[in-house]
Amino acid sequence: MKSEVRPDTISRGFKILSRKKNAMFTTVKAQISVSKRTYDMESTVKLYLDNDTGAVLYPVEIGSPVPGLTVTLDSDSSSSCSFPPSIPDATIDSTAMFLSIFHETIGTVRELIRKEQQRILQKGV
Amino acid sequence: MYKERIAKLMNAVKHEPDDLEFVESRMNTFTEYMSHVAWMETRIQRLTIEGVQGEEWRNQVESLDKQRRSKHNVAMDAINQLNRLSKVVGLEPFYDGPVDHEHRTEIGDVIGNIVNEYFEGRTVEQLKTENLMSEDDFAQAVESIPDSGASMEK
Repeated sequence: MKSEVRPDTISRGFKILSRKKNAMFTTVKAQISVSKRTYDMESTVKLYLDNDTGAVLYPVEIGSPVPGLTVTLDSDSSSSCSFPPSIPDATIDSTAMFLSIFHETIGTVRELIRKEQQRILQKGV
Repeated sequence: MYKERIAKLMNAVKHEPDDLEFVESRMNTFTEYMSHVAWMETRIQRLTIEGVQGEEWRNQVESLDKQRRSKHNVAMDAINQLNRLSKVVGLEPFYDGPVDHEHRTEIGDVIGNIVNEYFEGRTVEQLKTENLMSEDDFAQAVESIPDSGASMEK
């Protein structure tokens, strides 16, 4: 029997919640949304971007919808994930879902970073 | 010294919650690095005791070392960022030595000193409930204890 493989549709995006500039860097808070065929997940991120160069001031923390589960971007090519000391039954599904869209979440944050960098370098803030 | 400099920096940016959070999160990179180094050294001890050698040893240690380098880089960046912010607000640099890849070992030592300074200056007394609550909240909490006859003199 030949099974039909349905493509898993994924949509992703971000929404800027606030943008604030100080003398050294611009703080950008954003909401990251990733939707798969069966569920949607939202996380938050706060970026600090150098006003002069647009460079991200690492580390960047991404807060997940699961309490205690956070992702940290250490550099352009490195990230780490922290888990809570225990994962109760109530959050197992959301933890698994969040991890299953890890790639998309990081990709969206990278896209956000690129756009904010362009904004700083081209237009000024 | 470092703790004092951070206090001055926090004081200079105290009206900007984002800036305060920025300073705190940069400081946390130092404890992250120290924690990883201690964990890695313990793991190497264990691998040695277990007699793990050759390719398996290399694979395990290489992975740990890659993470350590990454955390070291993040902490070095954090020092540079704290130095810049200090300069912007008119303070002396957080750390006044060279912060580059040629001085990685020295920077590692500095990070150890920073964390140790905070550890040495930690609050050794057990924090009591009244230290963690405002005077009014504490008084209210005492008053709310039923039939205890408890009261608080102001």
